[in-house]
Amino acid sequence: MSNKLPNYLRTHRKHAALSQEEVAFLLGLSNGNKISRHEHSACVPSIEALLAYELIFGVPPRTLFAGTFEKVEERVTERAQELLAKLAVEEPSRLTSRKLVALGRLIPGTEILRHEVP
Amino acid sequence: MVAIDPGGSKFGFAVLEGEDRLIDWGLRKVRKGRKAHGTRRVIDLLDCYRPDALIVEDVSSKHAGRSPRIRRLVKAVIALGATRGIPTYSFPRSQIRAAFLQAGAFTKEEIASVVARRFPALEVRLPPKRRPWMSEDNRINLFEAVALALTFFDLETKRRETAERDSRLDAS
Repeated sequence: MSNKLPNYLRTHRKHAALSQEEVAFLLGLSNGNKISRHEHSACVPSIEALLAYELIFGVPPRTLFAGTFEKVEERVTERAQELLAKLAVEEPSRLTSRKLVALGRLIPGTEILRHEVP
Repeated sequence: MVAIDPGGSKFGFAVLEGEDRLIDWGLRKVRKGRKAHGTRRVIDLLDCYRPDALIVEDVSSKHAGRSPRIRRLVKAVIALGATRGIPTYSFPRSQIRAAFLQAGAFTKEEIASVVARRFPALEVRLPPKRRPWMSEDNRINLFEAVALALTFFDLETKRRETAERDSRLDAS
């Protein structure tokens, strides 16, 4: 089980010595309440807010929201394995082949190279 | 991990993931009064960060020179850790000093300076140099909390090195 926090917004904000009000201003918000809610995972930031956080802290969302990213990665990988199992046939079509390559990228250690697929 | 250092009206806290990653830090007010523990704020920290270790200063010795209220708070924090199944470690002042001696720091102020150099974000919180007539600035408790955490990592490193050395000796 990961020990990562759902997000590290507060960490990066404090390292940057910015107040919640200042980050709110950068995000175009009227006050710091929303920032506090983001930091406490009480609400999910919008895509615009996510991109703004990346710009402000110079850290991509997958690092800012490391704990959440890990959970998402685990679930998507599970589903990718399920889908891969459904699609993998002896002589896949060209369309299926492309799908297998894309799914292979999601599953560590099972990258399917294009030239391996007939 | 969460490290806590109680002071006069506030306690300092530090949250670290590994010895190089400072996640959160600050001072929290402790309610005054004979029965005040300040554990409400500690509970909030534990709920927020769900640490896998809790570090406090060992104030059990009569030479620790801490007030009864601070001793009660430390005891309450240790009890909280036990209730929640969080491994809790406590180090006496002497062990904290020993950990920082190699960095040439002995006094609380010198240790705070070493901590601030290690984590530059804390530099702005360094208290002014204490004069003889001044009481201790609360901000020092923040640095003491970080120092507690770093003492833990220092001891863990030494323990690991000793274990590896013993293992090599056994192998040869």
